Amino acid sequence: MNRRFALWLALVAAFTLAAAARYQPGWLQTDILALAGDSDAAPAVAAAQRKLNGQLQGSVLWMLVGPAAEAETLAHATEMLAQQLRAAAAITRLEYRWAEAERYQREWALLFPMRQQLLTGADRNLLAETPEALVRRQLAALYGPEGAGIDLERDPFATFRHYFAAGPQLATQVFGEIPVQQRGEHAFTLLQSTATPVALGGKVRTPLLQLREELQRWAEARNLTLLSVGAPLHTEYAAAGAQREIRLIGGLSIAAICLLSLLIFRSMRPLLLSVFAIAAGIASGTAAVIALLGQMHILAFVFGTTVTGLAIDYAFHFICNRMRPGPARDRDVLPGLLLGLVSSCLAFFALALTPFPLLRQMGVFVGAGLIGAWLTVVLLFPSLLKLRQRRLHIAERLPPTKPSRYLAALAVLLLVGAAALPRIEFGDDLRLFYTPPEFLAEDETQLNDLLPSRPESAYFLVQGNDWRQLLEREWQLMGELQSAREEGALADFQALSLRFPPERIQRADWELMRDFYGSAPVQGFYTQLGYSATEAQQLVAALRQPFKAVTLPEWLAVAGGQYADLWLGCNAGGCASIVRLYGLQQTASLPSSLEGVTLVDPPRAIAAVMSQQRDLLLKLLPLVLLVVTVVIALRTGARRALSIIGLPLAAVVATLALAVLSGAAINLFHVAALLLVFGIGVDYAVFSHMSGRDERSHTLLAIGMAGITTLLGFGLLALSATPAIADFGLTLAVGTTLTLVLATLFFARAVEGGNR
Amino acid sequence: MRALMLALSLIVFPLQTLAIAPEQVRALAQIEARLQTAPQMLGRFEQKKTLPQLPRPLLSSGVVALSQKQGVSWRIEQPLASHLLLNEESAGDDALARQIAYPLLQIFRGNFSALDGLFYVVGENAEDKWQVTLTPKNEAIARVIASIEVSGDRAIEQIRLAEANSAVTEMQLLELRAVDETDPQFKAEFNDLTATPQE
Repeated sequence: MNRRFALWLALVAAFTLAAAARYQPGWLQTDILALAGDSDAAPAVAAAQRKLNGQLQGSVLWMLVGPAAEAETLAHATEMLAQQLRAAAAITRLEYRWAEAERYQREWALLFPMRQQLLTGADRNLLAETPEALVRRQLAALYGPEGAGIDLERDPFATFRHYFAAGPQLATQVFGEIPVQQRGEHAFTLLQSTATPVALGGKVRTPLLQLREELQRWAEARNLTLLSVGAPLHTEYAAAGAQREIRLIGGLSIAAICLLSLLIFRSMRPLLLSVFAIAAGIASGTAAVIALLGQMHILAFVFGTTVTGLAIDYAFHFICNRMRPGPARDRDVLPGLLLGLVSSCLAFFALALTPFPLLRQMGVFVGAGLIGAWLTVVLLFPSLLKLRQRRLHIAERLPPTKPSRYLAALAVLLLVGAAALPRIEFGDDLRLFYTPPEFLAEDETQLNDLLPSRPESAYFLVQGNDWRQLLEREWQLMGELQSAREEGALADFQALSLRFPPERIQRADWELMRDFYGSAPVQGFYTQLGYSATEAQQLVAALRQPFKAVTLPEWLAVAGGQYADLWLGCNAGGCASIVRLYGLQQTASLPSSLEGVTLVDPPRAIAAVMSQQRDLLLKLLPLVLLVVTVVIALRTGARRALSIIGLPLAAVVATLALAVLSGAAINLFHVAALLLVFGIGVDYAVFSHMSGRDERSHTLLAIGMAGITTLLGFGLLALSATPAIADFGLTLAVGTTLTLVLATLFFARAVEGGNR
Repeated sequence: MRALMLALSLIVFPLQTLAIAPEQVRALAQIEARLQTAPQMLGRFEQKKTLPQLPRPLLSSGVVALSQKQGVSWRIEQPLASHLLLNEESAGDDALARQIAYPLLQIFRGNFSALDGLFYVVGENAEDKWQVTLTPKNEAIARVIASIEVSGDRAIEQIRLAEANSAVTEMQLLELRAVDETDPQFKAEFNDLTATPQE
């Protein structure tokens, strides 16, 4: 007895130590994008994704919208809003004075001496094709009413001014460094903030969502509209939702188990022991995930807590066996328990072998949790469990059925499966993990209407041995993207080389300007303005600038934040950058075969990984079936093994068939649930088949109680707001019910067979 | 509400905003009332632009059309042909041009009070004519515009735009009259633009 207890303590110590060694703050993740497995992606893609995720994860964009005529009021309100945001604990960084003079001056100081070599694409085309049009444009501006700010001495054709001022195609007014954008009847200002990471210790609060609500009321009182978008809002919403679900599902599941235990065992001790076994299961599952994987997603944790529904099987089986009159015969149930554990663990650890983080975490959590709970039952229960014995006659009271009924039921279920399976349809989507709430989706739609220039989630990753090669490759990509834009495949793109072309291009532009300055139209421009030919020549000579070579790092050091964000940096493997895409219509017509250029499309990649994992799991099922059959056959002989395996097989096939017939597109989570149904089915079938004649009523009681608790635990998962979890729960509920019905039928048959 | 905003803006922008004195508010209101703006107006202009670097001023003339809906059409006939449209969206991607286009647009519309966020607006309502002087409140605009003086009687007659780089543009608006929306010449001024690019 003491040896068992010592062994249990040693195992607890081992789990604790392993978890402590690998423990890291932030082991519980809430970021939806973290679920995308990047194990098979190239390291540079992963790094790009991490940088983008980093930018995305913390940033919340606020848009204050008012009527177009009250731009000034809006700017003042923006200043007030900024003060409130700054004062809020949920916000760490805020940027809204976009027209910040100092930054412009630094950039101007570096770039103005390069005015002969930096051109916008439009001016480059004009200079190459119709240079006289550039002269006409400038004369019209000079004679026009608003020709202000033309620098006749240094930038007479405003090519540098165009280059420097090129920005989004929106009308802007600036009030105290706050730009107010006009779009139709609306005016708006933008505030970019960084949110404090969601605190997951203890109670998840929603400071950001509350702040959003308060500020929206504040804006409404001023006849303004406040819109907000950003991953932190979703993270907070999802985290709070997940925690509510943990409480509700975990709480109700435990409450149901408590009630059942009290009703059946009429004692507190089995109940406390069962709860303890569940706690041990959850603890060892968490420890194993931390020790083996380092991190766990909160969705995996929600799932993992439902391990209680399964771990209780072992406790109930053990306890019900103890209810049998006479001396304790714990050894009678051990073979069944062990076979049940080995087969279930095989099913769960199969999930852990997949490269998909969520499934891997779920698999490890549940597998280790089962082992922990099982060891607690086997090591501690024999000495701690004290129970009043009761004679039971449940099995005998079942209505007598012909042996063929059980087999007929199996056959019918398999036939339903065979009929429905050809109609199977698949569907994998990131939306399965998370559907944004309407109020956030609404904000996003409105904001996108006013500000269509938000980047797509798909982007190009460009790599080169050094920054020079990188810029050359970007330049090549831009050429193709320009044709794609002309064909309407995308609205726009943003790249470093658009603002800072490769040196070869800068040199060509410099030569283009040199030739232009020496041309007849430019001479004509000056004589039109009243200069003599000699004066014109002197003016042109003064315009000429030497070529100035600036490195990309020098340029980046002063370039605006939006360009620095595109730069991923250099390491031993080379340099990398991102080309952002806007208004993407069709991915198919984007360039795909350029060297060092990769199109990265995270949602598509995630959907692809999910389909791949689903197919893998579906293929895994027969293999698991075979392994379990062999394991059982080694213990019971081939014939009985086939009879045992028939039950979970029929349950799985029929559950899948019902899901297909209900019109659901089968996703990874249906399939993962089927694997669990299989595990549960194997458990029940093993317990049923291996219980001796005098154990039957107690085995049936254990199965019944296990089934009902599982049903409660998983049935409640079907209510989850996360479609993936709901699919999982519903599939399991259906599967467990079928398994329970089949097991009861088996017992009815067995009783009749026994009476014969 | 507007008074509250002004009071609040005093706290927010202590250096930029001085409350407009009540007599100024009255003067501006009188000028805006005196100014007879119609939804569509058509006239001619003569412009003299004096740039410090240039040996002689740049003289130009042409047709101006004002539309509350479509903005301002400014068609130069002499010494070169050019046509451009000023409205909320027209200045395109040139941030500097936008800084000037907006106040000009409001001036042509006779909507001086809309500019008191960007400019100190001082109005003088004399017997024979009125004059409004605009000086930038904020540094970004002050880097481009030194001041804008507008004068007139029942219509705007003259606009004098002094730039920070000491360029001065004087625009005389002549024969400015209200026209019907269906006036063929008026329609042509805006239709032309849809056919030809602005520059």
